[in-house]
Amino acid sequence: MKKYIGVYDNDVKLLEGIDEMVDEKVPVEDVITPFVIEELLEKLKVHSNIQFLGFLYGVFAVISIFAGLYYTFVIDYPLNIGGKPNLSLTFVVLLFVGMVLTVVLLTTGTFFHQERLYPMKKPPFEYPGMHTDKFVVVVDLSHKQKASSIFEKTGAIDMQEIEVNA
Amino acid sequence: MERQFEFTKKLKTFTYILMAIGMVATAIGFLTDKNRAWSSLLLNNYYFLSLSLGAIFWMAIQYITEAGWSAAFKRVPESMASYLLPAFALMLIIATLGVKVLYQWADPGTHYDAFELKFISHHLHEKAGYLNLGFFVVRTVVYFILWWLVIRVLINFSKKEDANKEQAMHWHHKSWYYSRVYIFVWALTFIFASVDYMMSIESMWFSHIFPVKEIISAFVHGAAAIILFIIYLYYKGYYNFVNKSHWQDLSKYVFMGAILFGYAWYFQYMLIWYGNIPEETEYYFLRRFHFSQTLFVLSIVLNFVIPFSLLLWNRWARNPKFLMIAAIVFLLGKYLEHYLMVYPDIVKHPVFGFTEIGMFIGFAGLFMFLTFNALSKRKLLPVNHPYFEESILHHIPH
Repeated sequence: MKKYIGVYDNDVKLLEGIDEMVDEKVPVEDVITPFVIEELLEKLKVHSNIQFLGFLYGVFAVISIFAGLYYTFVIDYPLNIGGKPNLSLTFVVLLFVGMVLTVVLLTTGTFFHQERLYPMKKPPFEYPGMHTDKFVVVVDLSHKQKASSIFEKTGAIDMQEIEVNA
Repeated sequence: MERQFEFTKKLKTFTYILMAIGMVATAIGFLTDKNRAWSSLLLNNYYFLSLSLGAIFWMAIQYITEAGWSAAFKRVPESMASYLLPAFALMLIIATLGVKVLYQWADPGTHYDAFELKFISHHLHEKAGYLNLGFFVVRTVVYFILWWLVIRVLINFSKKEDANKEQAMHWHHKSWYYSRVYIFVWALTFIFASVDYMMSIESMWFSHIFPVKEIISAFVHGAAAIILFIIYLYYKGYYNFVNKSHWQDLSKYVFMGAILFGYAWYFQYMLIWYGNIPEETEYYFLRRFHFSQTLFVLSIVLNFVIPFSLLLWNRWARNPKFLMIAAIVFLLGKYLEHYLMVYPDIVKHPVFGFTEIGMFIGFAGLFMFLTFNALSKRKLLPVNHPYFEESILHHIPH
């Protein structure tokens, strides 16, 4: 599948270009940047539900870990350790640590799933320097006319058609 | 933008009324129940002292991390430091006149009966090298002089930065350096100060993480007090540039503080509970089972549960009204936490009447008066701060 890309060497110019794209109603399919630019999410109106999912995972983790601890420490194998009650404050430590671990693993998994970054997956395309100092904007080939004029106007260093792996 | 904070007559009278209530409460307290009055005096003075020192610590953190967003709020912590002088005077009074009422080591004869003294006098004798009346006063003087010196230096640099545009960067770097000095000096001295003023009330008990908890408390509750002042100034129309991003970053301090303080509260309690050593558990046993179970549980609710759940949602964290409620609850939590440190040993049973409320109000009035007074003396917004523009334009995407 062919796509049309424009390449910037400066994040300020990139953001100007994105502004133009939004104004001209050219749908931007993807932007590949060497570092995180949070303004992009705002300008392209991309919303992430990962915070809310993280909260849900936390609730799920607390409930399930508590159930597991309660089963082992109180129902199945109640040991008398120094006369302490079986259902005790020490649960808090395990709940906290277990919750953090569960949330981190699940949100990481969710992120990779949402970005379709599975193991052994080939990168969609390669452009020299796109992970070091170049900013690449991907648009559909049908918008080539409009996009190329915007790229030119906002000072893109390169623009071309490129083969993209699905 | 260039507005100066105006300490209006109305506000001045309000703080005077608060202080008058405090004076009356103090007088009535000393006439009726000396123990309660001294306890309340120590509690309130320590409370507001740690708030103002924690506020300067907050400012020092902004300097050493080169944080841009908070530069415009710099005046508030700087002004809060002006409580240091009355705190010094009151601590000197406590260390000289009230010490025998408040601290068990200062007067074992009245605090312990003959049976207890048989076991305890040896330990107290061993501790007397550190815990004695003369050294206690000397330490108080040393702490306050050190704090005053470093804070003085920081505020002087800030004034010089305002005065000269060409030299601003130079003084900013100096402030950056002396912020580290302040953190070093404050951390080292406040460890001992919190042990002296709060932990040595019960002379036989000790906990190694108690000073850590106190430092955390001073920092996060100090941040909550800064936020309350900022919200007040915002509603009075001074900080009109404040937007959602500022509120979110400010509320992070209360949110993070609730987690941090809840953690500190828990690790001290849990380790002592689990270790189950009689010398250590007696402290919590007294507070929880002989003093008040309700207040003991309420402390963690006010300090952790309510601020945490209020500020969990982004939308609420960005709303100054919710932030104000969370900060007030959090500050009440600090009062309760220190109430539970002071009262069980000296007053023995939970009392909360005119003496406590009135003196707290009086101290709050004094604190507000000094802070607003210092705020009105200088320009509200820093003039030549290198990060000032960034602070005004602060914006968190989405």
